[in-house]
Amino acid sequence: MRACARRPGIAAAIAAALFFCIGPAWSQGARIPTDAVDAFHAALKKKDTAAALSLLDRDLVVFEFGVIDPTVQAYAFQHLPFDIDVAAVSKWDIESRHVGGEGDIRWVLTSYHVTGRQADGSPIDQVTLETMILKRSSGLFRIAHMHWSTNDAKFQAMAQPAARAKGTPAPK
Amino acid sequence: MKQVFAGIAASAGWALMFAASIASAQLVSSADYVSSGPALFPRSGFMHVGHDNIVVDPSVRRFTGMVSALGLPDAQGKLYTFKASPVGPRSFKLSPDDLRGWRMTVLSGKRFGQVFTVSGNTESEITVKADKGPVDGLDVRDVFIIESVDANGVSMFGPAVGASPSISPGT
Repeated sequence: MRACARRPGIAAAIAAALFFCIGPAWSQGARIPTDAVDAFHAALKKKDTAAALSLLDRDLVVFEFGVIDPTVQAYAFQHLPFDIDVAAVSKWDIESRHVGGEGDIRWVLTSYHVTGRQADGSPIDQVTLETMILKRSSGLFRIAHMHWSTNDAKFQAMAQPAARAKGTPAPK
Repeated sequence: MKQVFAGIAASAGWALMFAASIASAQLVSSADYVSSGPALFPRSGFMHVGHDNIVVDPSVRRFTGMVSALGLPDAQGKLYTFKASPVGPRSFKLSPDDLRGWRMTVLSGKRFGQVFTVSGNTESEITVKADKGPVDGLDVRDVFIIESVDANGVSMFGPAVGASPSISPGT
């Protein structure tokens, strides 16, 4: 009888353990803001789409220079696959990192030295600056905003004249 | 069955709208930000920027699409099959079992972030394996990505090191 009485408790404990271990992918996040950022990059490197999504807030907005992914769905559909492809062939070494904010809103500002090889064999060697704003809900931080920029000269040459040609002042 | 798939034509329209919205939302939103303050961003033109200054081969094959209709539930009332409309530049015309064994991740709706393994497909219909549960909760217009990654997270058709860019479907 006593054994029978214990079973529901055991079953509940197992169910709870399973929920926390293999629960919905998007229920993950991280307890420390920098862990969420690093886990996101690790997920890209592992080509783990679901793990990357689990670290994104549902209100995510992404800025990549002048381009905006206005929703997490747009980013997941449009840019995430490409970011996975880039992560697969490049190495991102942290050069510097600043963390700030308080309460449920934090930011993580990171400078990476990105190296690797492009499809044509030419080297990737650039500094990428990353701004991440993280929002905490249910005790876990997820990325609510990402903004990347780079010092890559080829990109600057490509983007800035194109912008000026359209009659738009260069960014100040 | 006719009723279940009756929304296909309408959904094709939604698919087109979604694709257009993804392409245009970036420009419209950029314009909004420009108009609200100093010109921080170019006002027009889609630039290939961000990591896009880096040119890399696709690391896996991909098929992106939108649910155009739900299939019939099985005897236990569980749903494992749905009709799909290809959406986005990574889509291609499906042939039977092109996607067998590939990993599907739902990118919107109630099942956002959920992962399934494709057990097979026809030209328009996709069925997932039961091992990760049914796709119950999936809805018409939900979008998804299916990647050539097996259940263990290993790329099934990734290009070999040094290989030239693939022109195979899904890349």
